[in-house]
Amino acid sequence: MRTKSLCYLSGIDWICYTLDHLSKEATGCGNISQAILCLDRPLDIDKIKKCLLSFIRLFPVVNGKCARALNLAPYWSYLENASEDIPVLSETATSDEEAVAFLHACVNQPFANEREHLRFAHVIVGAHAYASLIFDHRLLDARGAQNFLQLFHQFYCGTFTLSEPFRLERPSGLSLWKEKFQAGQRVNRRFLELSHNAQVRYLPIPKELKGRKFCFRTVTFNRVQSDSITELAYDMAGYLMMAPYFLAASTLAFQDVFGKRLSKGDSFVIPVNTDIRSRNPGLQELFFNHLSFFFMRFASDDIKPLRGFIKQVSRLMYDAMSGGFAQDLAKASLLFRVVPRVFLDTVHRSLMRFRGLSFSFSYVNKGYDALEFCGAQVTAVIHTPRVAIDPGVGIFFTQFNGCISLTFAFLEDILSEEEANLFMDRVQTVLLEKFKQ
Amino acid sequence: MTKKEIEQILIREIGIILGGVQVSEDVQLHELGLDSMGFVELLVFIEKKFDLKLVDAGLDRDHFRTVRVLANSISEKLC
Repeated sequence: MRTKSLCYLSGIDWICYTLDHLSKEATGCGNISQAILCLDRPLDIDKIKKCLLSFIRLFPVVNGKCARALNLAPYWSYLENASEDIPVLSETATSDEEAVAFLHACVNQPFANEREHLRFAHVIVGAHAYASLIFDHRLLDARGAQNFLQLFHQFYCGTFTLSEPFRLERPSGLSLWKEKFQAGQRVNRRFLELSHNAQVRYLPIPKELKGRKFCFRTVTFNRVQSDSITELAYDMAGYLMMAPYFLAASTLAFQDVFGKRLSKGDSFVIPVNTDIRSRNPGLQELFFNHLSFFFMRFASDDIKPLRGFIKQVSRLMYDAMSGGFAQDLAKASLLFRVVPRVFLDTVHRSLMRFRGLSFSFSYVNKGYDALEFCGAQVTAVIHTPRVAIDPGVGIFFTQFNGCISLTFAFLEDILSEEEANLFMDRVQTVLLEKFKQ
Repeated sequence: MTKKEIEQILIREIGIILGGVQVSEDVQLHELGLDSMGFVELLVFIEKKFDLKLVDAGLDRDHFRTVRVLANSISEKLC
């Protein structure tokens, strides 16, 4: 007999649910993302399919769907003992360009139904291959997806088993209202401060969005380049290193390439994703979203020279992190889960308070760390996420085995192919260039 | 507080931040996997524990190279 289980969603999950809903309303496809493993050889796809089915049976939560409890808190409902398969897409490409185009198309394809949240793809290109997990951001975040792949690899190798059925347990979060309300006050104050006289510079979003897909440009720096970037980051951003360096370089390249096309304004406002998992995340933190956001605002005039700008970014990042904004937002967001879905857009916009955001930014550095995946050597890990419609543009960094990967994701027609290529050239130059004071 | 005591406090805290990783006095902090978020956690901890304001104190990468170097910097500021 099948038993129904439920797991309450966090406030951040509810924000992701909102973004998914807005994306579906606008484009017809939700907030889907993809973790791609570049492999030195093709996988045994028949063995993968068989193994994937057994693995998924350990985690029936992947076939859940969102519902709302009588106490109005949203929850994830799933059937224990469910044995639904996840689709495996297999393709042979004649070139890397063709393989990449196939993978990019995968992330723009809506899931078949409300209970489908994962797809696995495998593309063979000559002697090497790509394996990817296409995931619904309501079920997994970027690090969760990488950890999920790693766990699957361990299961495939016979080094991971579960001694008892896995159950997700989470409280409803409907207590300590005063604490959450106070966190909400701090978040609100910070938003007011950020939005005060802010004329945000952003790329105008096309009016008609139905059917528009997301496009991606990716690059993986080799070990020598990555070491050089790390050294520059350490040199220029000091002990805070990578995240401020990446963000500052991205903002500079963004302004250089799109400066004339951006909306009139004097500031860049950038939502930054940050991981809020516990120090030793277990299976309970594998699924759903364990991230939060903080927002950074810079004056356009402060971006050059880069060294000074990096110092400013480091300082602002330190203030945002040490001030606990991300934690406050996670707490405060528990409060507005009780809002009906029809008001989600309004809630989202009133929360943001900005007329436009410049671009989304994240840096994931604690994800997949096995050097192999199901019998193949992993040469790089890349993410291709569909970004929230506002801002419609995202810059994402990830690191695997000492090599840094960069993804530039953008809504179709928000910029041209040439502009995307120009941006990639510029950001790579900035990241690798030694700037003098 | 002696330098040795400061080192022990830092070793304990960095171990916690990194989720139980063994830390020694002379290992490079960034090689341990201490990222931006980890450094902020460490900085906030030091500021609270030793009642210091470090973020504006002009500390650079060299001051955060190893536990021993960091303990020296803290010790100098405490004097």
